[in-house]
Amino acid sequence: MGERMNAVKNTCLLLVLLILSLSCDTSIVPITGGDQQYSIYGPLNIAESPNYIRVHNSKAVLNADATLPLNVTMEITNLNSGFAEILDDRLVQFRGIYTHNFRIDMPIEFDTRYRVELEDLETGVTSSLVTVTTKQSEITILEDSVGCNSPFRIQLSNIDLEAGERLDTEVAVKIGDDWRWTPRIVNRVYDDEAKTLILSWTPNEISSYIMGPLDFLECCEFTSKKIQFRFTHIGYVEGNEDASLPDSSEYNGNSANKKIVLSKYSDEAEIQINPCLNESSPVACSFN
Amino acid sequence: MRFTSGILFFILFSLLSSPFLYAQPDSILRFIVQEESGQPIVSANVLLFEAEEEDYTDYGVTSRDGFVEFRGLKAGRYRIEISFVGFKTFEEFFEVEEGETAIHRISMEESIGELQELEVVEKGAKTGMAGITRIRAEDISRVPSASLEGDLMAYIETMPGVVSTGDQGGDLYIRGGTPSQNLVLVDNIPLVKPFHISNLFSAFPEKAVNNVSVMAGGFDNSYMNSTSAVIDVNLKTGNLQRFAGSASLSPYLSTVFIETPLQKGVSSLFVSGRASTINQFSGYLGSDEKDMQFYDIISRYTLQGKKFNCSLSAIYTEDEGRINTRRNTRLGWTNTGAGIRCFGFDEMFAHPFEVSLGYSGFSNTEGNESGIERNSRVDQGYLRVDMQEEVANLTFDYGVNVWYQSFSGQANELFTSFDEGIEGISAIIQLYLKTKWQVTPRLILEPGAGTQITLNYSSGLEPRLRVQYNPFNNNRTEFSIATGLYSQTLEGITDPRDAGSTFTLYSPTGYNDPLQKAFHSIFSWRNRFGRNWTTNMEVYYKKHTNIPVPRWSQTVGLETETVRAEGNTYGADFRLEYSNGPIFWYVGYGFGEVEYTAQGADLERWLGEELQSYNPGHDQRHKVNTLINYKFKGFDLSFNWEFGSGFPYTQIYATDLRLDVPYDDPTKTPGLGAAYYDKPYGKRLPVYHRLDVSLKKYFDLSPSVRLGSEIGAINAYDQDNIFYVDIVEYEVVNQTGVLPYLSLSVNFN
Repeated sequence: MGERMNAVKNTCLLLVLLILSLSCDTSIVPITGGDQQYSIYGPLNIAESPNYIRVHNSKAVLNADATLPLNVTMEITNLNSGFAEILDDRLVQFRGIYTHNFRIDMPIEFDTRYRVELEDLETGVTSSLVTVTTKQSEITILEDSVGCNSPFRIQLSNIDLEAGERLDTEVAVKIGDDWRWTPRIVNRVYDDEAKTLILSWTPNEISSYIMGPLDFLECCEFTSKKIQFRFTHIGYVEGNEDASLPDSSEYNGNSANKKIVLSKYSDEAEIQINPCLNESSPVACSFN
Repeated sequence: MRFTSGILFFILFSLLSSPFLYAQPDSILRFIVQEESGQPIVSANVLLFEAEEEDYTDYGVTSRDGFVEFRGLKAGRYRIEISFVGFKTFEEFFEVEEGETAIHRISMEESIGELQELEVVEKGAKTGMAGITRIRAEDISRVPSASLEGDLMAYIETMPGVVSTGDQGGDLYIRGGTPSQNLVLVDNIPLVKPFHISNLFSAFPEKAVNNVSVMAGGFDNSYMNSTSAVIDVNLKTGNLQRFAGSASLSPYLSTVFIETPLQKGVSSLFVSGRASTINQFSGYLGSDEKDMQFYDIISRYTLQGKKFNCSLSAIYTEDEGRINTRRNTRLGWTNTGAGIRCFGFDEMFAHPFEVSLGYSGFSNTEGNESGIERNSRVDQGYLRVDMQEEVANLTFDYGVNVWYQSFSGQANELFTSFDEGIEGISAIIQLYLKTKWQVTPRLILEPGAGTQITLNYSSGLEPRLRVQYNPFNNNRTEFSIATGLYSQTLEGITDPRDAGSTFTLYSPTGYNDPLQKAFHSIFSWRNRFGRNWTTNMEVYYKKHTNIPVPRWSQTVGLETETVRAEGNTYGADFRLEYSNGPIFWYVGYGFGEVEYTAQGADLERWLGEELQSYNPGHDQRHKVNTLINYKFKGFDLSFNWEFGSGFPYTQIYATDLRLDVPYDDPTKTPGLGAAYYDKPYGKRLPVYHRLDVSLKKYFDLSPSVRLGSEIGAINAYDQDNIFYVDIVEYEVVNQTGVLPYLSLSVNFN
């Protein structure tokens, strides 16, 4: 019996030693190593100030502890005037995750190149991009007071689509008490030399997009004889000029470390239509 | 051509059933070996001696019905010697006349005190045949399981080569195979997942089980439709002699068990019911909040006729809860099963036969507080006939199983391949034939073949071979080999990237998809040293093809596209047992490596290679288990310590909080959280280890009433073992901390 007890005791002792030797390392590494990398998102609103640029450390997991520190400086430089501004970080917490939003106090101007530069204070590595704001566009209504099935035309100037600018447009008609909007465009003609863009719709086409082809209303059933038009003119990024950090462009599709800083401004116009001009309409005209 | 194997089997079966093949049979001695209560004794060694001869002329091992027969005997007088651990050796003379088939039921008397050492006596769980571990209720009782009675799950988890990826979820990975590649049979009823949401418990308490065979691979052709492993559970026979019962309560489980003869010595019934009490008690024990509940009911009616044994078994299990209490994902599953099984050994039949008929249903769901989002259901019906015939001095086992499966389910955009949901049926005819050929006194071959046929496809021929070699012509040293081809028609698709959910969508193999197939190869060496030591070592290799796995992309998304992977598993398991009176000590070590190779969607651009080889989440390289059981002064002390190397996990390459520029305002919009995967399963979690302890004692309050008590603790030294890592938010969810318990029971008979 004594031998048996010794065997049990020795085994227990061995177990305890094993346990002690194994209970140390409980660490896990959720994210791959390597240099810090950052995504930069900056909507620059030409009409407003201040503006903010979001910087996210893409090597931080999405919790409060990891997203709170961010050891970078951000600077924006107006390359036309040479004026530069070091940006202050404004921390905003969403659902426990900290976001770093760098405040731009300088006004964002039309037709100007801005350099946005990030410096990692730990490594000294910089990452930068140049964003170009658009020229101010003018709206010219080329044709209005049209009937339900006749196109009205709008011309926008100073649109440089070839350089990378973008134009988002919407039109709306009033149905009942609501203005109903659609981003769809029927006809679009771009003149590269003149940098003008001509857009056209018929009122019934707009109605068809909004209501669907089966339920659409004749324009004479709209509750307003006006059509609203609005657009957002968006600038472009010349490109990431810094090769010292891995660039998102090497990953197609969904990519990490995006660097997007784009300017925008918006404008709008009203277009008069004349539903009673449409003689072929089977619905009685309600506008007299 | 695809049904060629089926036609071949049909011809073979016709020939086997033909009376022209057989010569007039010699005398036959048939025995049913059982305990006094009527419980069949499985794997007992039976030696046949001619009259007063010293050396035995033949030997046999009892089947799961306690059946053994000796054929080709001349008329005369024979002595039978039957031995089994825990019972007095049985010796008796029997006479048989020419051409007679004599049938005898033998009741063995329990032995108290030291057990006799006999050459043929086995101790503990037997692993004598490659890939197979036979477990008795007594083995199950040795492992601490947070309740007074042992549980099959607790025992299986001590086995090398068996992996569970945490202490919750009810999933078992056996030698590289996934849970849906396992076949679980309960008295021949196929069940999909009879394991509870707490991995401490299965649906099989010690008291409801007679014996279990865990076949980690290399199983013979009588088991079809599984490409990895088989867990074959035989429920116990209710006491045929007297009424008995028990009830117990612990902070984790309450149980009731009743067994009674319906006609003394002829028929009996047992009913076992268990319900979890974890939710109710977890707050009092200082453990983390628990949200899991389960219950199970098992019952078996047994009828033992003079020339047949029949049973009607039924089971119902239900699980519901959250395996990550910080998430809102609720999981649930139920198993329903009922089946009749009859084993006939009437002398009018040249050979014994078995007929089984039954039904089982399984459903699992995933949802949240507001309802079920995903569900999957499998209904199965079967009619199985197993027979035996003798040709040219070889005994052939053959059988047919007509198996009907019906599938339905909604994945709710989780798996893009099943956007329309699943509705399908599958009718399978399984045919098999195998034999045992004793080439020399030391060498036994067991070749076999089988096939599975549906209206749409055939699995082709599945040849299998088992070889047993006893170099010293005794059973102290044994080498065995098992190899063969395997296929299965049922597919379980899960997203292993989400450890917070075990939801599995079951489907029949699609008409255009190839069947899952596997090749197994196992080499086993088993040796007994001296009186008390037994060791077993197995080296194995498994190759799986057409495994449905999620296609890896760089983004963490809700929708998962499935692709086919090839899996290679190799490893080695080692067991050492010491059994000497009150001391039982077991240590097991398992080494394994699992590697999958699959196509990645856009991984070529992301990681530079489209074909991905990776070690899946259940690839645990090293596992050590040691179990000590010591009985002293009426106490029963058990320690079970488990160590496992870390499971693989996938790192992320980068995170993001995407804004829609130039429209989103950074100060008002959080942005879209995104994470980008690195290579699949490139890192490993820290090691896992846990000690469970228990101390049991029974007090006799009266000749018919016993009080049982047990104190113990699961994870006794409160190790922080990682169960789940939400890699995006870096949320680490640990497995259960220390779980102390006091369990009480009342037993009466």
